[in-house]
Amino acid sequence: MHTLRKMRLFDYLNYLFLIGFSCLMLYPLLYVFSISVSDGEAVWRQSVKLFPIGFNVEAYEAIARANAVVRAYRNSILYTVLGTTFTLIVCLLAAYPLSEPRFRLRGPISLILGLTLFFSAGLIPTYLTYQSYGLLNTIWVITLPVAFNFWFIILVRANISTIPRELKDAARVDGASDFRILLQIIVPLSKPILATIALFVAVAIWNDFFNPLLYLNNSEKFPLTIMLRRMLIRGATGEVVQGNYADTLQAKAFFRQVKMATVIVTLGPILLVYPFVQKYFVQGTLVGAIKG
Amino acid sequence: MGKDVTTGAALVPEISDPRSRLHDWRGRLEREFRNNWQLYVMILPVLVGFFLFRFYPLYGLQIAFKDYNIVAGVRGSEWVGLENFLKFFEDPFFFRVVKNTVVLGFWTLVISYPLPIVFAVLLNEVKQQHGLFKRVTQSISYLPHFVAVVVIVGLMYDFFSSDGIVNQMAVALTGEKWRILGSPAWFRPLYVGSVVWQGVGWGSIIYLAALTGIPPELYEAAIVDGASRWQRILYVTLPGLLPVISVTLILSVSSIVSVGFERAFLLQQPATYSVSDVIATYVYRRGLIKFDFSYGAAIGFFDSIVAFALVVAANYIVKRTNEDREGLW
Repeated sequence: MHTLRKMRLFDYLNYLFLIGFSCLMLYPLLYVFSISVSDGEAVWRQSVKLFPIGFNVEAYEAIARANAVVRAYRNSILYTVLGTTFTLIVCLLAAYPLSEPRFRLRGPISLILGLTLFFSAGLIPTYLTYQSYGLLNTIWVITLPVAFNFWFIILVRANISTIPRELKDAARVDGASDFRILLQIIVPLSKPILATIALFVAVAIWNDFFNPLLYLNNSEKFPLTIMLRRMLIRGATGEVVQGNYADTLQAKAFFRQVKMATVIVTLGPILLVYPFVQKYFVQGTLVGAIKG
Repeated sequence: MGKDVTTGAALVPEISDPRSRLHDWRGRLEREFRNNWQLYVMILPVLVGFFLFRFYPLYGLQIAFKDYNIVAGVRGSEWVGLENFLKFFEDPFFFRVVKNTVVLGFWTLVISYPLPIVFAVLLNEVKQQHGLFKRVTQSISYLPHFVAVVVIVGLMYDFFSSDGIVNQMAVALTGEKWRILGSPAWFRPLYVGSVVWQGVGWGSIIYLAALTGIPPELYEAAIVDGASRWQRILYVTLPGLLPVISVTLILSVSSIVSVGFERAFLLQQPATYSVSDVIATYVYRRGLIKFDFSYGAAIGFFDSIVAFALVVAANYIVKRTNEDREGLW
């Protein structure tokens, strides 16, 4: 074991590389944060390179006043909460019957729903279909289709099948209905997998740009991602932030701070919970990989 | 007749009397519903949702073979056979979007596929007594995976702009500014770079898990036999990863023709279309912006068929080349 513990030149280089790698991952995020809270003048003079210089939260105050950003934030939260809830409900409603041996249609239904893992109609047919349902420009088009994901159902079903039969049988002998068994036995015992799925779906919806771009064209309904594109890529920060700003370098630098502040508040919820939930994500990926 | 336990826990089939088979069948169906109606109630909304959101759009795929017009709808539009597909093959942009897709997909695969393996192997070389360092590095490496693509591309627009941080460095080093955004030569490096930044750590999870499955005795035995570190990586670590590598390789080959929409769409500008316009963005522009629905549907369909064929081909090749003749299926 001695050789396994001793540090050699390779190890020092390896550690150095890994540290450099971590810096590369963290630097952009730190830089964004520093720009957003630095003194306006330091940003304007381009002297912020790493850590904040000075401190001011004007950019954050500006986005708190910007109705469009606040509304987009509210929309993003609404879509995320609703879409995640729908997904969990669908998972449970599907996974419980599909894991019950006495349910005769278990096999055929699993097979048919499983097809959705391999075939999708593609962008245009899906768009036209949702349009024919009258779903365009509604919150349902963002929150409902995402819930019908057979992959997550497989994960929940696999978890339910690990719950001892005796628990369900005992409850049934005591006269519990299927709904009651689902709510009082299956749900409490499936919490970890449900939490994992909820995290995956929540992040996916929060970060989703594609579906809102396709299906929403009413600015009242826009989530943060669409707003971010307008501000960061289309350069329309000035329209988003209300107020009179002259076309000066100072104003340009301030808009930059506003953009970065918007990025920070978008990443905020994820960064806050990330250290605590990271292990669920990793477990979720691995369960998925093994089952697949 | 089936033996019906009152709890409905088991239905044991028995040999039935042929005369009462029909009656028997109906009886069984009734019993099935009586005992399991709650299960049917549960699954019903799920089936409805899958039908509406996943299966019914497949019916709309027929517009790829029709000349879709909004008034007539999907069903009423006229059949045109393969006309939309032929139109695509003759499209002056056909060669461009197919080439861009394949080249972009190819470079993404070649660069971003091996890096997570390298990263996992390097992390695996971290000494046992430095577990904390390893865990922290892992956690940090996963972080970019959770950053929205629109945020990453948006930040690239800031960092690589003419007075962004990258050009500040360029000026300090070379004395001149680089034109990065909107320059066709830079599009592919930017695209692939952002995929790598976002995906290296996350992609390594599956390999790290496979590495924990390699028994430590193998390493100890290799050391006793005098194997150098390089030899240990080559003859212990990599063979341990091989089964996972072949699976992930098959799965990622199809990515050559299915370059993701979001990143390419957000990163491209009309000035870079010559290298950045890929099938997915072309479908979106022709189909939804210019309302050429049938044409867009046909191109999308063509793309998914090619992707499917590539997975099948990759699976075949992997099966052929490894000794156990094992592929994904």
